[in-house]
Parts: sequence; structure tokens; C-alpha cells
Amino acid sequence: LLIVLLPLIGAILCGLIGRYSKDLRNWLATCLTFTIFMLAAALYPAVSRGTAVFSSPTFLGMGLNFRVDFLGFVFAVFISFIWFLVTLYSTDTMRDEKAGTRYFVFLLFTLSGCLGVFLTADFFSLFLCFEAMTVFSYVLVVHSQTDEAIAAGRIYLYMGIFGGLCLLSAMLLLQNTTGTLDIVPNLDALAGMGSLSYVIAFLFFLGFGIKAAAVPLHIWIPRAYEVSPTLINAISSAAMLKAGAYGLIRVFNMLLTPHDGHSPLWEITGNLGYALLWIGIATMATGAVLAITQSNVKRVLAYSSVSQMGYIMTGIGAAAYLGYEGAIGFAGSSFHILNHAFFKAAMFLMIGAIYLRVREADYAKLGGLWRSFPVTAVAFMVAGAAISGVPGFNGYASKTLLHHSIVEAIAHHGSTSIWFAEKIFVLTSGLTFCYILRMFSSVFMGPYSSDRKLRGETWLERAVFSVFALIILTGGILPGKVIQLVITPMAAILPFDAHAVAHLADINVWNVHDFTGIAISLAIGAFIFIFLSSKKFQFYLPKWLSVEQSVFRPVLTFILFAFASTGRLVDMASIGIISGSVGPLGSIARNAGELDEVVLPSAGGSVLNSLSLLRDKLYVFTVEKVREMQGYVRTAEHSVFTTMMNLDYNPYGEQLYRKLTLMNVDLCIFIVIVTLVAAFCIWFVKTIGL
Amino acid sequence: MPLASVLIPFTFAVLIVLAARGKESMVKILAVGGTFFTLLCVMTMLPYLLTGRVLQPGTSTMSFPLPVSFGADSLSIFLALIFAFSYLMATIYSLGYIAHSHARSRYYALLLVTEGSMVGVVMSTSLVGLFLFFEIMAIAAYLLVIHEEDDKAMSAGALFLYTAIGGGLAIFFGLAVTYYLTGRLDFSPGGYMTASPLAAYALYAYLFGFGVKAGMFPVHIWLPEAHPAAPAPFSAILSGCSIKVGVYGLIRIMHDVYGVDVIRALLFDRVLLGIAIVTILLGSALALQQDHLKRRLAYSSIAQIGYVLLGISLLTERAMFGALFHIFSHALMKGALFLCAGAIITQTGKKHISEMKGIGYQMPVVMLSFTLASVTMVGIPPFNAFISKWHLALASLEAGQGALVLILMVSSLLNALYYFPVVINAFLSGGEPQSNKLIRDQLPAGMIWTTALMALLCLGFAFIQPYWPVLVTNRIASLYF
Repeated sequence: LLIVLLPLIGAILCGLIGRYSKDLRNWLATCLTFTIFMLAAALYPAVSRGTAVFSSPTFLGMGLNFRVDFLGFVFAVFISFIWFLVTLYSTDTMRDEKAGTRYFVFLLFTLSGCLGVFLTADFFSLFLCFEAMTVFSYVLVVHSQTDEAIAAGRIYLYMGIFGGLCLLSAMLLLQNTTGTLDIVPNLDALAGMGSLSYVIAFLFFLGFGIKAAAVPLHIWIPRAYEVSPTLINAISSAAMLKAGAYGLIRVFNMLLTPHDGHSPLWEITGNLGYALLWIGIATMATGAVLAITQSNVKRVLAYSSVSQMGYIMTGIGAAAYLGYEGAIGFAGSSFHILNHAFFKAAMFLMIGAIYLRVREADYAKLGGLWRSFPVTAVAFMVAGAAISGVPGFNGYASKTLLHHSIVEAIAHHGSTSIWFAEKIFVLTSGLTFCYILRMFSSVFMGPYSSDRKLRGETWLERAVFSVFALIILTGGILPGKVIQLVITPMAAILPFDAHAVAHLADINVWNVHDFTGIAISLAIGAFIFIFLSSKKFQFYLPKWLSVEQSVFRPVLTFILFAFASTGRLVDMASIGIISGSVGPLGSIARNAGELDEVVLPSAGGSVLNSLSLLRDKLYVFTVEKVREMQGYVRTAEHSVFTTMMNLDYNPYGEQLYRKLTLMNVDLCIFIVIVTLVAAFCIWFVKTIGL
Repeated sequence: MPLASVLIPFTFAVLIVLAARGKESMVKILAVGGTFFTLLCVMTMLPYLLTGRVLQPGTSTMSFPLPVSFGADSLSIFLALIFAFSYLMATIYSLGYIAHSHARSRYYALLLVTEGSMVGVVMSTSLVGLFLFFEIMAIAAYLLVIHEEDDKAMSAGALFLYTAIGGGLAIFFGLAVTYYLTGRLDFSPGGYMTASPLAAYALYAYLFGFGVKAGMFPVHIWLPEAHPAAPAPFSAILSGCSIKVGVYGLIRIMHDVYGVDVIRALLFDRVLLGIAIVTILLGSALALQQDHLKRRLAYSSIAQIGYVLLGISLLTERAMFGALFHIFSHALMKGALFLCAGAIITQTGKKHISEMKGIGYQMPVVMLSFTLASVTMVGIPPFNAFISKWHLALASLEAGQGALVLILMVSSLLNALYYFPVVINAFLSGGEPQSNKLIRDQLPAGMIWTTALMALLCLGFAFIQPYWPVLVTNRIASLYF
């Protein structure tokens, strides 16, 4: 949809232009936000006819769907209007700040994400925009880039990511069970899965609750608010916290409700609502108590935001608790969302304006500023009256509605626990009045503590603050009209009893009963204020009460440490096993080498030795034999020779020779033959042993 | 075409060696040309990817004792496309990165050899070819890992080489057993092995062999050493492509050699699932503790490969889709991150995260790319990795393993915990004010735009309608189940 894309494109343009001209950039950003506001408002005809739909089914293979119904439309219009006012205002204050371009670029990016949350049709698209908002707004939170800002930003970012992952898990479960991520009443499909709907609700609560500052998850707020620019606080408080609340509405008042008005499954919704109601009550009480104890203006406002978000959650919870007739709770919370957006944004801007000049945020160092800031003081008084619910201001109407819803819950279910809730509600309203009184008195009243000459408020500031004050007053004086025009159509979107919705328009907040209710609260507030003023607000809550210190930090540290060290251990073990196995293998190889080096050569040597020994022996033996034979031959030769000589001189011999000659045998050969025969005979005789 | 896509890089590698004595520019042209033509060649096979038809081998057969032939089905083309693209980017990036290094011709030639063998692995139609190219890849990659030739690189390289050889031997054992049992080594959908103890040994040998390459848990130890030691573009390749080759091998073994039923019968999917879980958690836990940027990235690669293993171990279509898509998105994002790390080292010489304060102002484009890629890592929509995580988580729910979702979420959170500080450090916690002036990156243009392109693609596909990576991956996954 154009509304979401326009800021994205505009932001990039802004970034490019900002390098060359600051004025042009500021002008462009303001125009853009105004255009977006007008565009959002221009959706009215389409929305009043039904819903405007834009979808891109192939996006990421999952489809990106935008659908605007009246609920989203109202939020989008009001948020974009506040965004416009803040941007307009920041053109002045951000002009000479460093990294102004980045500020505007990410302001627009965040706007796109935030509007996307309100205008999407399914949880996937919503999640996409929600995550975009978290990541982009992180840059805004750490704008000042000091070390504290980075530390606070880290908490903001990681909690945001954690919340996003919880949302993602919830979406996965939802997709897996119901096969769709559309935001429609879908409890029928979920209820069959036993406790699964509770798990999903819990995960959704974690995801949106972090953004909406539900009580154990609110810890990022005071830290982030203290360090980020007040303009961002205004935006964050007015818009981004509301995105969380919007998500809670969508989940608890829409997704987790049955189709049918008289289904027994409303009981599950009721149970969930009961839990959320108490979380809301806890949030508002904690926020208010902590707001009183703080002395830093920004922190007070931060805790005040927490507290107010508690009101809103109480309303959502009451709506779910009342089930089909819960329209009044929804009306209260949505009305309060809008009101809170205006008065808290206004307060942050005013405090920002003061901070810009005085550069102090501590009560002790502020005071008497109404002289320099008359319009601001009046506007602040209006906003303060609104937040504490003074009749005639818009906060009164919404708080009364919320109160009604709780009372109705008591009547409806007759539970005593809710009766306590109601008492706490009244008390918290009183506490709210108390811290607002204290803030107003210490910032604007009293002696002026510094001698410095202060630059007074500019006309732009006056204009912006007056617009806020006017809106607050309008809402306060004509609550019936607002309810009729805005709240009732919104409630009609949700699966509430049509009769109960119609009844909303008839509620008249101007009656004696409600007046007395709020008067009691205000009286309590004033009493506490007077009581605490006498003690100079000198009391501190013990440190262990801080959820962050007592629960999150040690647990997280422990988990991370355990996880990291386990990982390191396993890695080292696997390296050890694999590299370690090299050692034994190596030693085996070495042993084999030794075997090769020592044993084999010696074996081979011995074999060779014995072989050569054998050869030698054979040689000697042969030589001996030959010599022996030679000896015999010589003896035989000798004897033959003498014999033959004798024969020669012998008549027999004479004859013999003659015969031999006749035989024609060569004498030499004859001698040889005879010698050989003789030698053989001698050897034979000797061998036989004769 | 499959044959050509394998031969082109090898041919160009030879040409580079021949041209190495000539002009430097010639070598560069050949290197870029080689990767470019490979990409082109793989692109021509895209129609087959979309239709899902199998591109048959034809006559392209090498005569080894067992035939090596080339063919391509959708999965091959898909992976080859990722590889070819990453290589083109890495090569262009290298022109600047190793401009002042030694042995440049060797580097380019080896780069092309590894590309050829990686494409060869996915384009082979039998285990023989797969194994052959797998080993060539291991050896060539070893030479690239030790490119710096200092002591650190040598010891990392030794670890890399020995684990690779060990893995290769394990695969060889598997190969032998497979051949002994069935007398064939080809791929056929549905598999042909039957369950028997010997087949089980072979299967786990395969797991070991391909697991080494993939950086799976007990044998991941080479990865954190080799990645920091290698030149940055090759680290990007190692992490983006090389470890995917191991996964590819496992997919082939599981689906085309053994078959799903046998895998189930041998309890292989359970074991792999367990290993995948440990791999994911271990990688994240260790990445968290590293100060050396490239080591952190390397451990993160281990965690990411765990996702992919988880996807293929669930044995369902959606899980397979998630795994394949994660291969795709991880190649892009981790490629971009390593290229960023290389760019930081080139420009500033800083290797440790704690030194990188305010670096975003000195090199804005590079660090913006880093930011994009790290946001992708965390899995925030509409970035690529979200889709894979979404489908993996949904698949594990469908498989009745709800606890896996928890692991995926924890791991995503940890991703945020170890990537965002780098970004925050770079941009927000600036050092001295005068250094906070925004200046242009002082790097060769080729390095910057390749990095930026990789990072932008992590996001860019989301805005192209229809979202074709999803369509393509879906088709491939549906072929298997």
C-alpha cells in the first residue's frame, strides 16, 4: 500500500538530500509525513464502505497482505497525525544536531514499519512490519551514541528481537494448527488442541507485551527513554507502544475468540482475559509506584508510560474476560490508546523543549520555568490533567470507560479478585495524579534555580503544543461524540455482541457516580502528594525489587555463561578427541617404525650372516675336498708313474706297451685314465676305512 | 552442457597456467572469463531446472575403470548455479584482493580448478565421478587455504588436508561397500541399497566423509582454522559453496542411493537430526566467544550448516525445501559477510572485532552490506533466510518435533547476539570524533560492488515478483517426496 511504501522511498530520498541541504531535507520529511497523514485519512471512504485490500500473494512465497479495517484505520490516522506533529517539531530542534539526516531517515523508516503494523491483514505481514519497526527504531534510540545509549539500546534491540522470535514461534504454531495466519476469530480451530491456545496466547503476549511494556518485560523502557532524544520518546510512547497494544487487541480480542457469539469456548478467552487483566493491573501499579520514586523527568514519564500501558492492557483483558459482551473494555482501552498517544506525546515534547534549553532532567535542578515557558506550562497542565483523569479532559472519559468495564466484570462474574483489581485501579489513578502534581510543581513552579538567561519558547513550539492541548480538550469535552464516531465502528470490527456495541454510544460519562469515583482517586493522589512532599520524596525502593536486577540479569548471565562454556567444552572435546586420536595413532606408527628400524634390520642381518656363513662353509668344504682329491691324484700319479716306469723296464711291460700301442691309445690319455682309476680306488679304499 | 560446464573451468585453468609467464592482465581476463563462461553455461541449463527434466549424459563418458559421466537434474543445476555465481563474484573480488599478493597466477588457476571440480561433483551422474571430483576439490582447496604460506596457514592447511583425506577414505570405503553389495554406483531416485549391517557401516562412513566437508559437529574442527587462514574470497567460497558440496553428497546418498525407507530403517535420520542440533547450538555458542571476525563467521557457518542438516534429516518435502533454500540464502549472506571481512582487512588491516570501532564511517558501503547480511542471518523478514527458517520450523512442527522450533529460535537470537555487536561497533560506538567523518571506501571498485551485490541479493529477491528462488526450490523439493 502506498502509505507504507511512501515513507520508505521518502526516507531514502531524505538521506540523499540531507547530504546537501538540511532545510530541504526537513521540509521534505515534514511534507511526507503530512502527505501520509492525508493519505491515511483519505482511506476513510474505502474503510467506511468495508475494507480496503492490497495484497501481493507471491511476496517471499508467503504473500504480503494489507487490509485496512476501521480499527487499523483509526490507529493509522491518529499515529500518522502525531508523527506529523513530531516531525514538524523536530525540523526545528534537530536542525543543528549531529547526524540529523540519519534521524530523519530512520524516523521515516520507523513510521513505515509502524503504519504497516496497523494496516496489515495477516500475522506474517504484521510481523514483518513489527520487526522492521524494532530494528529501525533501534537506531533512533541510540541516537546520541554515548556509551549509556548503546548499553540501553542493546537491551532494547535484544528484547525486541526476542519478542519478535516469540511472535514468530506463535505464528508457526498458529500456521501449523489452523493453516492460516489471517487475523480472524479462530479459537474454534485452536481449541481442539488442548492447552495449545494458551501456549500461543502466551507467546503472543511475550512478543507484543515486550513492545507494550507489560510488567515483567518493561525493563527496556526506563533505560531506553532516559538516553534517547525526547522526540523519540514521544514517538515511541505514542506510537510504538501502541503497536504492541494493537497486537494484543488483535490477538486477545480477535484471534483467540470463537466464531459464534454463544460458543462455550468464550471461557478460554475469558481465562486469557483474566490473566491479561491482572498483568495490566500489575503493570499500572508498578509503573505508577516507580514513577513516584524517580526524580529524573524522563524516567518519570517513562514509568508513567508503563503505567498507562497497564490501563490499556487492563481494558483489553477486561474485554476478553467479559467475552462476547466485552465491547466496553475494548472501547475503554482503544479510547485510552488514542488519548494517551496525544497527552504523552505532548508531555514528552514539552519536556524535550525544556531539556533542550536547560540541559537538566533532574527535579532538583529544575523549577520556576513557567516564566520562560508560559504556553508550555498551560499545555502541560492540560496534558497532566488529562493523564490523571480530571473530568473535562480526555483521560477522564477513557478511564471512566475502563472503570466501567472492571465494574461490569465484577458484576458479570461475581469474582472477588476483580474487586481488588478495581481498588488497585482507583489507587493507581491517585498515584498518577500524585506524580503528575509533583512533576508539574517541581518543573514549572517554585523558585528558579539557575541564573542563566533562557531562550523562550518558539512560535512553532507554541503552535504544536496548543494543537495538542486543543485535541485533548476536545476529546475531554465531547467524549460521546468521539465514541460514536470512532470507537463504535472500531468495536464493530471485532467479534462483540452487536447489542453491546450499540450500547456503547449511549454511555454517558457525565454522571455523579463516575465523578465521585474519580474524585476519590484525585483525593487519594493529592493526599499522597502532600504526605510525600513533607518527606521530600526521600525514599527508595530496595534494589532487589527491580525485576531486571533480581531476575533477568542473573538468569541470563547464567544461561549465556553455561551455554557458552558448554559449547567451548564440547568443541574442545571434539578437537581433543580427533586431534588426540592422532597421538595414539602416531605412537602406533612410531612403534611400527621402531620395529622396522630395529627388529627387521637385525633379522635381515642375521639371515644374511647365516647365509654368508653357509656360503663360506660350503667354500671351505669344497676347497678341502678339492685339495684332498688333489693329494690323492698326486699320490696316484706318482705311483702310476713309477709303476709304469717299472713296467717299461720289465718284459711284461714291454708286451703290455706293445699291446697298448696296438690298441693305439695315446700314452698320455692312458696315464690319465689309469691315474683317475687309481685315485678313485685310493679314495674308495680310504672312505671305506680300510 | 553439463560436460561443458565442468570442462570450461579446467580449460581456463590450463590456459592461465600457460599464460602465467605472459602479462598479468591476460591472467585476470582468463580468470574472470572462465568463471563468467561457466556461469553462462550453467544458465543455459535453467530451462531444465524449471521444467524439472533430467539432462541426460549422452556420449560424454570418460573411460575410467568405472565410467564417469555427466548429467544434470534440477538439484545439480540449482547448486551449480549458486556455485558459478559465487565464483564469479569471488573472482572479480579477488582481482582487487590479491592484487599485491604473491603467486597470483597459481591462485587464479587453482580457483578455477576448484570451481571445475565443484561443478563436476554436482554434475556427475554416479558416485565415481562424484568421488573423483570431490578429491580433486579437496587437494586444490588445500593449496588455496595455504595461499598465504605463513606458519598459521600451513598448520591450518595441514589440518584441512588430513581431515579431507580422512573423509575421502571414508567415502571410498562406502563406495567399495556399495559396489560390492549392489554392483552399481549410479544414482537412481528411490535408491537401490537394502538395509543390512554392512550397508549401515557404509552409510555412516558416507556420513563421516561428507560430514567432514560439510563441517558437521564432531568433524568440524578444520573449519574454524581454515576459514581465517584462507584468502577472504576463498573463505567466502569455502563457506558458501564448498561445505554445501558435502550436504549435496549426503542428499544424493540418502535419496538416490539408499532411499528414504532404508534411511529410516537404519535410524540414520535420527542420528543426523541429533548431530544437526548439536551442530547448530555448538556453532552459535562458539561464534559468540570469538573476537576474530573471520573465526566468528566460520563458527557461524557451522551453525548454519546445522540448519541445512536438520532440514535434510527430517525427510519431508517442506524440510527439504527449507534446507535447499537455506543453502541458497546462506551462500549469499555468508559470502557477503566474508567478502566484507576481507575488505576490512584490506583497507584497515583489522582482524578483531574489538578493533573495529567506528569503522562504518571509513567504509560505509562495505559495512552497510555487512549490516544487511547480518540482519539476514538473524532471519528477519523479508530477508532470504527468514523463509528457510520459517519453513524449517514449520516442517519440524509438522514432524511433531516442537522442541526444534525452540532451538531454531534460540539460535536466531544468538545470531543477533553475535552479529549485531559488530554492526553497532562499526557505526555507533565511534572512537574519536574526527574519525567519524563519512568517507568513501578506499578499495578497488570490484571489491565493493561484488560485496554490495551479494548483500543486496539477500534482500533483493523479495522485491522481484514472482519470487522465483522459492518456486524453483519448491519444485526441486517436490521431486524428492
